[in-house]
Amino acid sequence: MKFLPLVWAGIWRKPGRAILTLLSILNAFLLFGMLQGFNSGLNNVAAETHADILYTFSRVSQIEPLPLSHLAQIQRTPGVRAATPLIIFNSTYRQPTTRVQAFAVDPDGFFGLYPSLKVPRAQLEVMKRTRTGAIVGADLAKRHGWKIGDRVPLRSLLWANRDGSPTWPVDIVGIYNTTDQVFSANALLTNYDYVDQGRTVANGTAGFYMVRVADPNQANQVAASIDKLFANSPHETKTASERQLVQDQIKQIGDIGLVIGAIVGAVFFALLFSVGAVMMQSMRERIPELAVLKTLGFSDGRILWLILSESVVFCVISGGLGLAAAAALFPLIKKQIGFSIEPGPVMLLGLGFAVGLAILTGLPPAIRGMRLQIVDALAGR
Amino acid sequence: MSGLVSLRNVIKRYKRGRQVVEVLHDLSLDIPKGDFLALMGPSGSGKTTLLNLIGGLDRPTKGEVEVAGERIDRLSGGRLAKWRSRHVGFVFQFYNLMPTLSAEKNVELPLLLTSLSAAQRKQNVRAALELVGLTDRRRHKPSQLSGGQQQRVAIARAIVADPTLLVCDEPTGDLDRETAVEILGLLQLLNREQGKTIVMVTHDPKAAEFASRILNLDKGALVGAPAGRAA
Amino acid sequence: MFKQISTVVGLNIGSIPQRLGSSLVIVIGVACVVATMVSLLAIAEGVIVSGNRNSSPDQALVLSSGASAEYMGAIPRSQADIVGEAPGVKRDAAGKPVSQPRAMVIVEVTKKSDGGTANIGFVGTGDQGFAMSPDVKIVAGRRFKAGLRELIAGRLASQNFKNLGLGDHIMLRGSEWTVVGIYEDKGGIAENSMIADADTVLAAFDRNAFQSVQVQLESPASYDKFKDALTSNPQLNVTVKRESEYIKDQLKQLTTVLNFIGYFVGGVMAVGAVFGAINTMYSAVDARAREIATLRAIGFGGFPVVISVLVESLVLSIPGALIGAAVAWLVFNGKSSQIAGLSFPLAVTPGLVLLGVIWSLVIGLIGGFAPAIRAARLPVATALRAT
Repeated sequence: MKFLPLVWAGIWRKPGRAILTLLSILNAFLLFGMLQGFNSGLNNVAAETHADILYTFSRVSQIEPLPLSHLAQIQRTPGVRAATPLIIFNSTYRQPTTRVQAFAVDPDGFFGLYPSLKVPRAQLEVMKRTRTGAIVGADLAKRHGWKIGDRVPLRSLLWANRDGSPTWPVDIVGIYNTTDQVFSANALLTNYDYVDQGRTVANGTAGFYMVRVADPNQANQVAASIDKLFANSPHETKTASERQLVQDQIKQIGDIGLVIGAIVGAVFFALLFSVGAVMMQSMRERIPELAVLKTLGFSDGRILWLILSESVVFCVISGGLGLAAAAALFPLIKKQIGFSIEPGPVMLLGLGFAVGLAILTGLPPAIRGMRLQIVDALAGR
Repeated sequence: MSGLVSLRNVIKRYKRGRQVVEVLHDLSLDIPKGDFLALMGPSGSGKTTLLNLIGGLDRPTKGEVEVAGERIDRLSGGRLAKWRSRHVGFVFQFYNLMPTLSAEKNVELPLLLTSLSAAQRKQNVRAALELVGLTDRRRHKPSQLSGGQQQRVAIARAIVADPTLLVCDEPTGDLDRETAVEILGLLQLLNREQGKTIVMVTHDPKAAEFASRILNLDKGALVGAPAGRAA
Repeated sequence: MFKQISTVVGLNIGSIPQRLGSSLVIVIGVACVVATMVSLLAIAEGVIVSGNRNSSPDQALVLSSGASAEYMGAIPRSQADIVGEAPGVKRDAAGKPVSQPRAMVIVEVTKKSDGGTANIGFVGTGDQGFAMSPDVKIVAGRRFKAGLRELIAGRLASQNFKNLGLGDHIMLRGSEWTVVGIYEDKGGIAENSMIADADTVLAAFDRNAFQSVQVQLESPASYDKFKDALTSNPQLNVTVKRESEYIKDQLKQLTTVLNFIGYFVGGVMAVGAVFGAINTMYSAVDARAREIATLRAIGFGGFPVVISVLVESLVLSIPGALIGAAVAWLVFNGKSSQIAGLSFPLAVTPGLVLLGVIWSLVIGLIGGFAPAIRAARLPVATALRAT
């Protein structure tokens, strides 16, 4: 585009001011990128759920245990391919604020049911042989520097050990890797027997059951069948698909979408104002120059396009830099919260906003420039 | 006799706040091709207004303005802009160069409105800069040039698209005597050797001497010519 | 010196109306930052305020050792009795210890708003418990009768979840409970829960031990001797906390996260506001270059000029903060936010407003700093000539 040098020169007329405005736009889009990234990542997890996995909890609450006797009945339910019990074993490590997500499981049953978690067969065998054995996710191991052979003292948040303390030492015997978004490589798995036999209450129970159905399309029916099995018994169940579970958890946190929307709204409102003011100010200073362009034969329409182009190029570049910075931070955010964020949709939405910003702030000065009367402008009126 | 530029019974009125002021009264004028006309007069006489009409920067309230056979008082908006880009080159008292562009980029501006290729534009710019003697300063920004040099760039910009007419509003008003003489000499050169028709407004009698014809304007009418008759 | 400063400052401020458009940029920018930050932090404040609402320094909670939360506890009746007899425990007019063994289970309820689920507390208590919580008032219906599957629901729980209205029946663990009353607790967290008779709750949920013992102390100072007596007793396996401490600990994770979000977002937005302020103040200085140069030519020093620019920046920021805080207060104060099933009314406290004002001062000072220096260093001669 032959007019690009002219557009570029117009943007950098006052370099200091341009840099400051660029930074404020960059800043706003960085925040937007992070917030929207988090929001979209959350929604993504729900999309990544496995259609053939169900979770059976007690109907009372997710903390209420279910008897182990439920397992056989669930396994016999038509449509169920496999089921395994889990004890919730969330703990802290060293500091009370360092949480470790952990479960006590039946090794074969669990890893067989959730094949997206990859662990070498040999390590699984060691875990079966070692009562205190534990297999940890690769990311979790990396975060705490755990290696195979380490003995890790966990402080359970839920169960007291028979010896009276809440401390449960586990031996790391394996590391699992996964790209799974729902389970992620952040959990610790130890033996069901170790926890169940060691704890002082709720022996012979499971925190919940994981169920794999043969046909994902039948998932809802199978869930209903399972719950029907235990209806009107003292241990009623509530079985839900993995997707429902995740969506429920997200909803429980609060209406995140609304909060993020409000914050983004405030940010863009302030930005609109400050960038708009800078552009109008710049326009006022350039009236004589634009008049000269008109004397050379630049039409009113062309002046309009010139100013708008400057605005679009500027806002898209500044916003783009902010979005890119946010995208660079996504892997870091992933480490903290566990789910990864697809940059694509966030970038697209962000660029859309950048163009919107450009038009809203660029149009008034562009119209002003379009409308200026050559003679008045040259005379300084 | 009708020349390159022809004004017939031109009246120009402006609205200043609530008042209407008539700046040009029933003015008629002919400028033949190849003429170098100096328009002189006291401030407020309407000479800039007249120049604006001739250059297509403004339209008359009444009357006809014809340039190279075309009635520009009938053109408006975009078409007038297009006409300007093809037929007129402007030189201002305060140069009016784009401060953010180099000399050669300033000179290139009128060519961006044509359909010439980048290579052709470059060629024309080179030629124009050579004509005004500023080839070795072409990369400099206006802030790095002296007043006289800036005015040369402005002149180069005014002629780069080979316009029919050159319109100058106090071109030496901001220059010292020596530089003024250089600039006026350059204008004379363009007139005599390139055949450019030039209309120049000035209040300086010494500058007017460089022209081939002088007309005086006072209170919106040409002095020495009765209203209605062409000068 | 002072006269110089006040003169220049006066000229500066007086000319703000001429630069209204660009001045508004700072006001609006700061207002947006403060409004957002204060609103977000008000959520955390609301959590803390709700938590502290009815905690008394002379009440203690006895939990099972190793239990990080009340619902995990298992204290048999025999141990609960020992707790009641410990030194430091207040006695009522009849000479009985003001001590209440409590049941506490977490139950899943369904939200009225979107059908999602939430976990709330179901507390089992008795007469002594009510005596210790005089702020808990039944505002509709009546108290439950011991031995029957009757419960009273907190005002917020009743509002937010299904089947908790007066007269409703709710299925919990296979048996039907009747909501015979609604209680209020001055807007505190307890309004998010349900209450019934302790023994009835234990039986219904198949528990054979209480989850905690709530105790009224003779005085706040009796806490230490009470705690020592229990922790040194070999028959007991308990931990003792002041009630206020316990609540604070439970809420700590939530408030930490909320505060982090508030400060993080507020911080990033403040950085943006600083850029905007710098830009605006530079424009202001440029617009007044000739005026400033004239003052300098007359003999005013550089320092008064610096001060005047900074003062102008602050004069624009502070109203921004007040407007932002006012917006946060008007729109959000008292509105309830639902987090993890619990309803907290947002609290825009004077402390938060002050924080907003301080934030704005920082923005104004940083934003005005570089332009102030530029104003003081303006080359007088060229500025006087500027067209």
